[in-house]
Amino acid sequence: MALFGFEKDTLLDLTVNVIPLGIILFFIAAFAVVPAFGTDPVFTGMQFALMISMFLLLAVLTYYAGRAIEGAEQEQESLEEASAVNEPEGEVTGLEDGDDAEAELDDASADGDDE
Amino acid sequence: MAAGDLVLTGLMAVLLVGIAALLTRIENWRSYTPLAGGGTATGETVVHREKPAGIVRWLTTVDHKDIGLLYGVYAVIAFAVGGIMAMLIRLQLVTPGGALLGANAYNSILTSHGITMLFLFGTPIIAAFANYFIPLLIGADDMAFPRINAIAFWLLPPAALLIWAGFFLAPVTENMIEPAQTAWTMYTPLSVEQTNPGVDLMLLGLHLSGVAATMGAINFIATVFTERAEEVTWANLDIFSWTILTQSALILFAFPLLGSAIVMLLLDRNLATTFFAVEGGGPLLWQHLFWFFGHPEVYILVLPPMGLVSLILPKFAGRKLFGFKFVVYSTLAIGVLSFGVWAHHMFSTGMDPRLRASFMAVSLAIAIPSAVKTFNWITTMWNGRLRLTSPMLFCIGFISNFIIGGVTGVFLAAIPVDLVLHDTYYVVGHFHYIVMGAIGFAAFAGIYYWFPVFTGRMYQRTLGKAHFWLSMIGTNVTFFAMLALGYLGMPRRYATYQFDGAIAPLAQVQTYHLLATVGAVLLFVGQLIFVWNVVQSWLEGPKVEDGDPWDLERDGMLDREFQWFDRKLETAVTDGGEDEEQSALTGARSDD
Amino acid sequence: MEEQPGLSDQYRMSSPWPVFVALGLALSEIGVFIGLFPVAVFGLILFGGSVAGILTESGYATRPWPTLVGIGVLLAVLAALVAVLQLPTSAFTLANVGEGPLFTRLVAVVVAGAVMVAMGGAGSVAEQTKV
Ligand code: HEM
Ligand SMILES: [Cu+2]
Repeated sequence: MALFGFEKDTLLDLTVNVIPLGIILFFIAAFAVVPAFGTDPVFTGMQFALMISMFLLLAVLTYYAGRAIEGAEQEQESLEEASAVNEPEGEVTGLEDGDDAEAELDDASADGDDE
Repeated sequence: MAAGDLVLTGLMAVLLVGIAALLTRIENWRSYTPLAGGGTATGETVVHREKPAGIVRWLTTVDHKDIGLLYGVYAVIAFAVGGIMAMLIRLQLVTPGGALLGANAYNSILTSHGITMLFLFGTPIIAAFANYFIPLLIGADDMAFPRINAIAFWLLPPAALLIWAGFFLAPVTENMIEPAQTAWTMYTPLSVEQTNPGVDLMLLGLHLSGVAATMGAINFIATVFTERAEEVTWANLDIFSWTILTQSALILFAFPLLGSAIVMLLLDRNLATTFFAVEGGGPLLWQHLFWFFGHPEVYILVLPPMGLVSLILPKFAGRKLFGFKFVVYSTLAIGVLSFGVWAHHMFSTGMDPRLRASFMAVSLAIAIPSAVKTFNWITTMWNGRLRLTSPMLFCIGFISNFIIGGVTGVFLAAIPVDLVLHDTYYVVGHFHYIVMGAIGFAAFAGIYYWFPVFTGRMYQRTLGKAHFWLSMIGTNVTFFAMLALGYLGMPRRYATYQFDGAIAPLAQVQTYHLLATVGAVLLFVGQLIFVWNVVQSWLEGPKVEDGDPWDLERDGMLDREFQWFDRKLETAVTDGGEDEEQSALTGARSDD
Repeated sequence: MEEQPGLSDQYRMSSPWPVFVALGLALSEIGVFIGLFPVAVFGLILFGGSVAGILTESGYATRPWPTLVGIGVLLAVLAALVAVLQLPTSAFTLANVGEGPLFTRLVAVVVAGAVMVAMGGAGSVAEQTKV
């Protein structure tokens, strides 16, 4: 699957923002189908403008953030492949390789149940 | 009047001459070389150490760590001031007739409490952590613009003096200048009509604090974008930096707007413009402008604390943050959506019902990203190897309080519910669960977690735990009672509540007020312990010798800032214990 | 030049200017908005001077004087512009200084601008003749 050119993993991450997008979409549809307070060119216009603009802004930001993160990930992967040392780094940590080695031993047990 | 002007002129002249003389004494501005960065290539300038000694160091520093500490001290002082104001409010309300204050004094203190806590404690305490740790976490030497960083901080002390000015000036001016009584929202027409110059001073103070926040935000954005170390990419940028980046973007859009609205208000007050007058823009214009800033402001205050919790909680759960990317994307989502919900503060103003409905829609959507984070934190702890240290306790308290604060927020975002509860204590309970129960708690978690880095010493753990439990119980007693008061129909911002028993059950209302005050006393005692603990441990606590005081290495979670701390401890030992740190870059040169 | 290294040459992580930039801005705002003539003038001068100083110190400008003149001109022109656009010509009288709320404030800004121009000019002349 390559929706919008994202990898499957990234798409999965992005679902988190699809939910608020969905809620906004739901309300757009609901208010369009049932205009409970009647319609008025100015106020109905503003009503939909607010929801649609929020939808678009969120969609665009999510898209570009996804791009940036996926791009950085791919770059990192290719770097790691190039340097034969294939040591997966913690997402948040940037441990230096040197003093990592001895920690590795007792790390193994703690890491085991991680993901 | 003329005599006053003369005195003022004289004072200003003396000040200016004094400053010029001082500057020529300590600074040789003829020797500036055209090179940026000070004394780089010129042989004659000797760089002995990085900073001068004593108080001059703190007044002239442009080091992000020093500035972070300054922000921290400033915020804690503001927290103490705001906290004493809060105690006065709570003590006042133990009896329906008001126990200590007159109505004017109550209104002044209520106004200053809100503004102090949001602008002088909340924003600066976040800036404290951000200044100290963002450069360390992303592997930068310093902020992108160290001098702008210092300017931003030094705008805050005058801002505080201006915001509190009425309290100092009322006694000496025979109440010509009083503290503002506008409430923190400064709604027009009230805020235009109060002729008290104290309001102008407060507005100027707010304006300065806004300028400071904006300068800081520009600096953080530039730093995160341009100063990252090579191996720090968008894919492995830590979560705190992400939240600060998003927060800074929000500040960039929100604070300049507040600044402009404040200037408009000042012009209305002093130069008879009609921006917010009925014949001009109308009083509701203020509410729209204020809340277009005000709602993003609440997320400006809560996003970085969320980042702190996301950073600290995993360290004591022995597991990586569950769904790291979920947290990143939902941070960004909150950032965007927070600009589309402002009118949920105005549901009862009689605005067009169609517009109102759309603000409700976006407000409900914004609850999702917050909920996602909550689930991520809970899942991170699931099956983890929990260590209930003080920072961890505060993180867990954060989650618990944030859930109550968030859920009450979602209720309020539903128009029919809000029409009943608006302007009652329910709203006060809602946002205090977040500003005290969550933001305050995250700040404590950060202070305890990094206490060894700030001070090189360890705090007293038992006192830390006492602080937590008093705060946790105090928060929940106080603010849950407020939720109940809201359901009973108690309106907010009143100095007294001697109403007719037919409107609301007075006896119960008084009981809940009493409960809230009892909770506040617990909170207060807790904070006394906190201050004692910080001050005493800073001076006499046991020195930290291990660069990894939390034993994070074991789970492979030693972040850059603790690695830096470790290096600092090691160099300090081999160099014979000089207390200024030597960054890798300058170490070689200045060791001559 | 006689060498006596200043604070920011001596210490890499120090600069005396930020405090004064902040103080200058705060005083200018109080002076202009509350309408305190002397505070406005001195605040603006302090602000302009410190900005000129900090830009020179951090290497964005070689000498402070042109910046000082620039800020002075900018302030004076802006204030004059507001005055022309917002006030009737009849308000432009010496007697009106200290009376009309807007006019007084604008005069304060113009005066501050003029002083900065003078200071900047004097500074660069003095420097050129000395060295
Ligand atoms: C979960 C998302 C949230 C929702 C849906 C929400 C909703 C609301 C609503 C509808 C109100 C207006 C109540 C009224 O005046 O009738 C309100 C008030 C308030 N909220 Fe929230 N809120 C949320 C999160 C937050 C957060 C994170 C903060 C603080 C950091 C916060 C701080 C405040 C404040 C300060 C007020 C009161 C403003 C005032 O009238 O003085 N809220 N909230
Ligand atoms: Cu809001």
